[in-house]
Amino acid sequence: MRLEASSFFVSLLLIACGGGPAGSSMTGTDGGESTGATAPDTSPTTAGSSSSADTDEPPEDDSDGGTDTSEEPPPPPTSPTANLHFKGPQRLENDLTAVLELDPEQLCTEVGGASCTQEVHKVALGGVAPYDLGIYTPAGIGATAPIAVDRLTLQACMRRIDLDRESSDPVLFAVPQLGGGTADIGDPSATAFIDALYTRALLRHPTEAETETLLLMHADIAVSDSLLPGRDWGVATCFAVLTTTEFLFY
Amino acid sequence: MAAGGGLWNRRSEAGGRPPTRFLITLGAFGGASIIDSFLAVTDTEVSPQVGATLNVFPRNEVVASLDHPFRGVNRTAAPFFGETYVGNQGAFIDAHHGNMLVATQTGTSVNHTLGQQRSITGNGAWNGRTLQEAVSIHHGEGFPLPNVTMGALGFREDGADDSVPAWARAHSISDPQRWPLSLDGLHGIDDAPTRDVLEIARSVRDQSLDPHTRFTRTFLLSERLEAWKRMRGEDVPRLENAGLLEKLNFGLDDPSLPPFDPADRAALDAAFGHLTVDPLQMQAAMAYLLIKNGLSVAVTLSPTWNVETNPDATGEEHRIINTPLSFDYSHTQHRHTQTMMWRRMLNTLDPLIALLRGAQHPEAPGESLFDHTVIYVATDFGRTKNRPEGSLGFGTGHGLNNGNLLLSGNLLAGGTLLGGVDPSTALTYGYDPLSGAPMPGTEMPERVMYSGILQALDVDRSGSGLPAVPAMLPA
Repeated sequence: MRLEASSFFVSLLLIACGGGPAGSSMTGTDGGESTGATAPDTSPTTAGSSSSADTDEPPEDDSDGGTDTSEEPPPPPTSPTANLHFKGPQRLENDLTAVLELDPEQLCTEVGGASCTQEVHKVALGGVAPYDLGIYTPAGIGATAPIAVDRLTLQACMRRIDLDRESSDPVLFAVPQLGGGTADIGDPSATAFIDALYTRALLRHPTEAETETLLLMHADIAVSDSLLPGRDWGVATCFAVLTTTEFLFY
Repeated sequence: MAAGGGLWNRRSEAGGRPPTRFLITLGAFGGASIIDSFLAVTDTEVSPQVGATLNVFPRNEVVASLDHPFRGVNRTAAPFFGETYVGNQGAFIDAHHGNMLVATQTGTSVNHTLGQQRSITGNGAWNGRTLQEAVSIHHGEGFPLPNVTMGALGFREDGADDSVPAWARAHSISDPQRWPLSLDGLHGIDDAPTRDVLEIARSVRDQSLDPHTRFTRTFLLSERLEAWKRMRGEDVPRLENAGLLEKLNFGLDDPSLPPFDPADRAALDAAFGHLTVDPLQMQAAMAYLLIKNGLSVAVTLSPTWNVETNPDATGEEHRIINTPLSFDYSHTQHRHTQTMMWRRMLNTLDPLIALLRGAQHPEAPGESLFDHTVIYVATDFGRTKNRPEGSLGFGTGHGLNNGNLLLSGNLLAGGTLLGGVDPSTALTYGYDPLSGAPMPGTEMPERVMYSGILQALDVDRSGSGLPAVPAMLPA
């Protein structure tokens, strides 16, 4: 697996930004308000069996509640301006290709082979089409945008998971398969997969609750009509994380 | 008559309100000149000296009838890009004069974008609210996508009225052929997880992940985030559960997609000759399907600047089908480009009207969708009226003075001309909005057209200060 390098760079980035995984992510407080301060045991350090493990250890004097503290982190302040923006087609394409290590043309195509981000859903996702359609300014994000995002992300996640399942050197998904097409979510690679998604996409580690929620999703999929529940769990986990508002807005 | 319907949820049955009314705006992108169509002037109506320098037509190119007040230009644009293009406005008038209303108007901008925008706001007549937004607010509440635009440039822009709710703003469709894919998260994706799996993942995301993040708490006050969550929670299930792909997907033939309704397939194939290649025909087809299936009450369409082509009868050559505006053709080849412009508009309107006529209004048994629809042929502006003496290949500039074509099955004073044209100048003049009496020497501001359209659509204009225009209404 190639989790190590990306986790290493994410950790460096977060530390450089002040606090980073030490102050928040590693404690599981960067994304979840309700979890305790206990450090998830699914950090890249443990999940990736990486030579960079040491760099992921949080500083002991972390002021935001490092991995050892059991104090409930203070709730984040609510932004009075809340000036959020939807990423739009180009940023989504850039971020998804980076997170999933795919080429843009691998991300998503619709019936007929047209690109989701550059053609079919470009305007729906807030893009412009000045030359062919005379759309010079972004249209508002309408009711079909969430569906377009879902189609884009679902296909991108399918590509990544399917490539990884066939690869001897998977990028993200290396969870062993069990009987009936299920996945061995007890294997450390399952939590490593989740952690890698979070660190790559959201620049933080998942909280315990988030990890647990996503692992539990496997049970629901296993009793659904899925014929490949292990694979579909990988796709669904990727999809769920990469369509969170935390990923879609900046 | 085919039954429309689908997402109609309401009204006549429940509240006794009148049936929903619809607005289709067809943008004559680039400027459609009314004196090159329904108010054409012939060279026999003016002195030879005056006619030689005005945009007047040889008598044999203009058709008229005692049955209605409209004129039509039947002429051939030839040779044009090596091809001939026959404009036969007379045939359209013969078929639709009882549903036509032509009213004069003088605009306020010769800039394409501004002219287009003002054509749908009446030059800011009601706080900058577009016609489509006003119609959506009045008729579109409860419709999934009440206001849809496929138009270009100024015809596509939102209005400036901040009080218009987000749901009444235009929803943009860039590609009518493939847009239906954005109405379902799964259809057409090969090897995708099942719908059960997709819903499990969505539920985890929406119920267990998103609500509990520090990100969500930090940006609790974000209106964009709130809107996104609302769309996910309300609009997405509503759109997906309505099975819209099979109702709207006229353009993609793929075994992974639900089959398109065969009755609509037959109707569209009969109406349009080039549905697979002509963007404007695709827009018109989508306009029909959006209204028929109860998704929208205001739909806007228009061509663009670009040269578009269709295969000819042999399928080997391609003919230009839209009005070539770039490279100054519109400025140097007035007659030919206006022939192309009106040919394009009327050839789009004719099948669209046929489709609307053939579909029953779900809230009005025995009445068609066309009976309750106003089609507004909006335009950037008109053209200047003069030409070099005796020239037949002359150019024109953008001109404010013009007029518009409106059509409806039952909401307008069909067969009516409001205003007129002064043959000695080829300038249009106004009319009394109350009586409809012609008023030579006057000009009609954009707000009158705007108000008249809203009035025909029974839109509540209380407090707007807009003028009453009963002259546009049926007797």
